Amino acid sequence: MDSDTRKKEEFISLMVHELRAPLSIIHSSADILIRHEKDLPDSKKEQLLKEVKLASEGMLDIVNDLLDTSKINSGKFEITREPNNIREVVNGQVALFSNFAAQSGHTFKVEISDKIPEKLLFDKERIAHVLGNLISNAIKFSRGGDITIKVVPFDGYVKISVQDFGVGIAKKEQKYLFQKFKQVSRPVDSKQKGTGLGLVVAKGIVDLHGGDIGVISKQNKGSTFWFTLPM
Amino acid sequence: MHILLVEDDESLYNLYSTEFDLNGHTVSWHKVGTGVVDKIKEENPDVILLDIMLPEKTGLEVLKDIKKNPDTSNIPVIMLTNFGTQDNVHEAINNGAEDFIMKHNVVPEEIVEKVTNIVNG
Repeated sequence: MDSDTRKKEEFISLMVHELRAPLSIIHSSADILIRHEKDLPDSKKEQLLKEVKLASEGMLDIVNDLLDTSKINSGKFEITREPNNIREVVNGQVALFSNFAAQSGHTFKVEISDKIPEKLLFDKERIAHVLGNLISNAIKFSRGGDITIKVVPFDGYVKISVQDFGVGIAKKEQKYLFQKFKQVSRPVDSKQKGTGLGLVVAKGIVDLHGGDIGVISKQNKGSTFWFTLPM
Repeated sequence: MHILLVEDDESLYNLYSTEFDLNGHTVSWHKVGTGVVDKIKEENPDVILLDIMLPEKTGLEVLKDIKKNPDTSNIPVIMLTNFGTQDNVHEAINNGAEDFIMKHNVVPEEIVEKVTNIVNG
């Protein structure tokens, strides 16, 4: 088996695992709800329904990332660049993730340079998705502590970065992070969750904006994921 | 029957504890690989359900700690495993685990049945 075929096999195996875990939660919750409909207190029923919702949302995210990856690969992914305020996007995503961050002991620090123009041309929904992905990864792969989000001017571009002090990523693995089928660098039994597809989609979106995306990382020290948008 | 569940996934705890509770059993929950032996001494469970992949310490390391401590070594341990951890399962059985359950292959009802059978011999 050549290296590309092996990577695809690993990728499919990981996808199966990532979909199977939430599917099993949905199946088990439904099974309990049906069998014990009369014995379960309402609070338990509500808890199980919440588990179903959470697991199905997780599956939906994976399926959406798969669809977006497929569209990006076939050149059918479209963005709408309009004048938008990047500050609103950053503050919106910080607000969106504030509960998740607080639950896992993280604190956000936001630094936005005064030199950033009021309006930039970008697809608000898609760029919010990119930033949300980077913030979500920072929360998942670091155990508590600060997560710093910076927006600064950078050589005719705006650079948006998300820094965490988590597990970091080995140098040899960093180059694969944004490549389809190659982002798998962990065994399927790893405790770390996620398909890695989010970063592939993020790269596709940033590329379509004429920007760049990358990471600076040191193992056990943390990572800074960044992307740029033309000013 | 009193069960100690060592598992970091809260959704699984919610599901398992609901099913065990409905069958007249009690479940205590421990989320990390450290401090398990102390928790066992405190809870004195009839059986331990131990996830193979845990934060801070692996399930295999925890199993070895349980089995080398005379206060805890007699309590049956059932490993909870994921797809892709078959190699670790054999090592767990060799290190004194009673059995294993592929957690995403079964519904909680089947887990209750299997645990009950093991504990009742």
